[in-house]
Amino acid sequence: MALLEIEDLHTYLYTRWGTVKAVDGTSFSLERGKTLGLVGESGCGKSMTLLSILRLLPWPAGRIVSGRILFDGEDLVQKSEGELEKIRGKRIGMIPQDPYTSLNPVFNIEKQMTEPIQIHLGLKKRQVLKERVTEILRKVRIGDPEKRLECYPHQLSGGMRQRVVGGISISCNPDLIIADEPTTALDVSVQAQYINLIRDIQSTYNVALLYVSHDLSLIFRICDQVAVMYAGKIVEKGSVHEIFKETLHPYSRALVTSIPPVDCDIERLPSIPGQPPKLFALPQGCYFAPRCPHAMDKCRQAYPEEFFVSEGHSVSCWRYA
Amino acid sequence: MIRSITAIFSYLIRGGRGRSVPRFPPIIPAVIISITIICALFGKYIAPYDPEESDLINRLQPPVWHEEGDWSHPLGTDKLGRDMLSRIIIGSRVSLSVAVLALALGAFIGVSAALMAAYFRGWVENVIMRVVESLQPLPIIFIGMILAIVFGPSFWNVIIAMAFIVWARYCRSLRGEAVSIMERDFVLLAKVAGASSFRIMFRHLLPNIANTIMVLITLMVGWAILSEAVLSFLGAGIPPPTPSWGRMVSEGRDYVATRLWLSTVPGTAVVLVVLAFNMFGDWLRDRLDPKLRQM
Amino acid sequence: MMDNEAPIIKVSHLKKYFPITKGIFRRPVAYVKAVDDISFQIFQGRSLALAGESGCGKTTTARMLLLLENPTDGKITWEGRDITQLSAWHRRRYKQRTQAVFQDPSSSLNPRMRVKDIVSEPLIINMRISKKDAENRVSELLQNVGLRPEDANLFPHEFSGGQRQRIAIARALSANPKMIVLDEPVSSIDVSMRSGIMNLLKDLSEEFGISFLVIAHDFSTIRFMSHEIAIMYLGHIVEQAPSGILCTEPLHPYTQGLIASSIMTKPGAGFKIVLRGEVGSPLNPPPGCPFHPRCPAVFSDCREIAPHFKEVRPGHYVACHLYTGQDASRIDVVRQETILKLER
Repeated sequence: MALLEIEDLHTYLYTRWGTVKAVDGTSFSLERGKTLGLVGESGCGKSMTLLSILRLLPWPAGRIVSGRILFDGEDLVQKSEGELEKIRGKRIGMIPQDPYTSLNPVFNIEKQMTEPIQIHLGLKKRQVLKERVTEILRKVRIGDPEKRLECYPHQLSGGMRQRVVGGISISCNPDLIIADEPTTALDVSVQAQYINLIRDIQSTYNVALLYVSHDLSLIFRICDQVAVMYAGKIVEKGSVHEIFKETLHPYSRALVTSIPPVDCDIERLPSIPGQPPKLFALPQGCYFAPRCPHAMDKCRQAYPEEFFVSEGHSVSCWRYA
Repeated sequence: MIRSITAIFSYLIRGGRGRSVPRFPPIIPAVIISITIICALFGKYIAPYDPEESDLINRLQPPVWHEEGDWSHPLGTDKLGRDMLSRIIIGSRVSLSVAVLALALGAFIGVSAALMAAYFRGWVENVIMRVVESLQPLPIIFIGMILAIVFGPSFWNVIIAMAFIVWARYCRSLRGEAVSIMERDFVLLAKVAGASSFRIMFRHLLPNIANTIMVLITLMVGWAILSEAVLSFLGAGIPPPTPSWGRMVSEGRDYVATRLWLSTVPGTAVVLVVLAFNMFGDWLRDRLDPKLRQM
Repeated sequence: MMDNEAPIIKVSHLKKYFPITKGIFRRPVAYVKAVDDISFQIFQGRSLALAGESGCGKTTTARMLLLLENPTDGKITWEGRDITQLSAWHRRRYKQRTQAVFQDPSSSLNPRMRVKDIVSEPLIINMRISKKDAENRVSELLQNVGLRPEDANLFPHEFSGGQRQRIAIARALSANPKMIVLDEPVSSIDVSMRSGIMNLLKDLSEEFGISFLVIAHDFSTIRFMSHEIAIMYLGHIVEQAPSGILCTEPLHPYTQGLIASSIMTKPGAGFKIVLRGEVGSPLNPPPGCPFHPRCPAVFSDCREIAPHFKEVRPGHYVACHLYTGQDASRIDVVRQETILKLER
């Protein structure tokens, strides 16, 4: 039984311009201790998928219309707000976008790290809390953790702040960590450090990681499973090795090939024409068909179903029917 | 049932329905504002009597809803027997023209000052903002009274006094926005292209703060009408016999105990118009707020 | 580098220090050395990239070239003239010849102007041109960048991010520039539209002989867009070489770290080489080599003596003590040893 199982999720946004089908029949599952990368461009519905899982959709515009989000066998869609509060932050941790600005400068590290534990695990004794936090800091490889607890964020180096933020995300022993574009604003070397830290935490604690990004090359670095999303639907999913070696859907392939290689020369980049579709005016048939170099008549008539090319590697494209 | 009532209510007061930004202006304020503008423009033809002609026989007639009132003077007459309805209709002209002129003058100075402060920064901004801050605590009554004492009460005194306050408020509210627009890349690109400071201020900055200027103007019309009324009430405003709402309220003061309507009728006109402009301004602000619009 | 041709822009010993002032008399107490003695040249139709992490001074350098900032010291020469001393006429000509495209097209297009006014602004400012000619030029430019001439009457918000960047490019092209500064031209554009824009820029450069000064942090863009790459660190250029050589055989440990984090060999393995620590403060740069606190191959000289920027191989310049005094045959060995040290 998978830890997180999303079945035919539909999340719509009701706006002045009409109904936006932000998530339109998405299904995927994530096993315990595995990492899944959800990749797609801005407005493809990847962030809305995350917000649906956390049930933090913009109110009143966003609503889960149908589908199930099974987290450890329980349907999050049916939960009350009170029950969700016990899950968010405790069983589902979050990795913030910017590790540098997500610590509060007026509290010391001990206060910031113990707070979620106090709230979620109900531990009260300062000594117990302190031991637990020290243990976490040691696990994320911060030297001399007892001393660091007294420090304020500005007294720590950037790398240490990253580690503290990472430590907070796992402090309540979550089963699942969610990360939404955690490294986009960061410099290359800092990004590499942060990615390695996230990987480290994920494997040491054996938690599941749902990583959302527009950058396929980062997803390839960190994830076991990849799901490519386009206009609210998942167009291809599979293990990272399969998708890296054999990208099938024309859209995923465009994402891979549109990044020029660093280690060899290239004269021209393959590029796909057009713009991503507006979610309240979707084309008939396959949503990618108007931009697709291989589009056939069939593609313009019906949205392709999911075809399995091998176990665990599926693609929604008529070419693989 | 309750929902539909609140919906209708919100449509009348706030314009549109629901939580999102209403598309149509709120009906009641829009109607009040239109009536006021029509009265100001064509008051002469609408008013049933000459507002300055006294008729001592019919003095202090009560309005129509009073036991002794009748339809010949729907809102009654004042102590000189002048028709209150006509005076209010004609008075709207004074109220509006003072407001429009004072706001236009104040806006012109305030916007120019804000643009210069945002464009040049440094000491120019410091000087302008220190002046603005020092004007901040001065009440309109103070400036109006001083001008009235030195030059005697007049139409232009009221306008200058108001513009004095208005420009500082404009400058303070607009400078921040102008500074943030100065930091946008298109201003940088205009500089790269060699645009003159004049071009950057008027072609790039001004259109981008135009919405805020509009909203500020509508939100301050109410304040301007009220201030004119206050100054006229205190005798520092429009000199008699020109009818002005504030003066009418003050003239009714002597009869408050016995003939309340003399003060309340023009007072109600002030309140209604001020509220209408404020609500309209609120709607306009919601409507033109660029952050909401991008959604 | 080509010696037979004169560069269109020559930057020599350029410095920019921002004073940090204190007290009411604004007495400078310290200086942020944003750009500290850099030199480079840009040739006609050839593109140079300045790469490095935030705070390395690449944006400040670009701002000085665009006359948005005055250098503290050093010279930028254009057609034999120092650009800070230009007469009004030459200044206008320089502004016309030098344009820029910035990262975020939603911020670089005035939301209150129509596309035609945005695109023709550099023309209107710098050339005497009739309205009719300007309109013709705008529709020609819009077609050049892959938009429709009818789009001229629309406002920027009616376009997607990629199209907006094309508008920004059309604007930069309008006054027939010789050089365009591209500051992160694709990093805020959706991935599926990046390649189109990069192809477009490359085509335009070849077609009109425009040189680019590319500023970016992402090596795949840089390599594709430019002929030559200069790596900056804390206000210094630490390495410079033709892009093919720099990306495949980087010498400076910093460059090696950056390149390694841009190349992926095996999926799911994270980053094998990670630069430790973070960029130091330009307010208080470390003595000696600015990179030494993070360098895995640091030795005593690095902490005291600032390395010279030297040509170690034809066209390949580096400022690193590891390569000083090494003869050509040893350089490759040292390079590989350094990579091994980085992996640890």
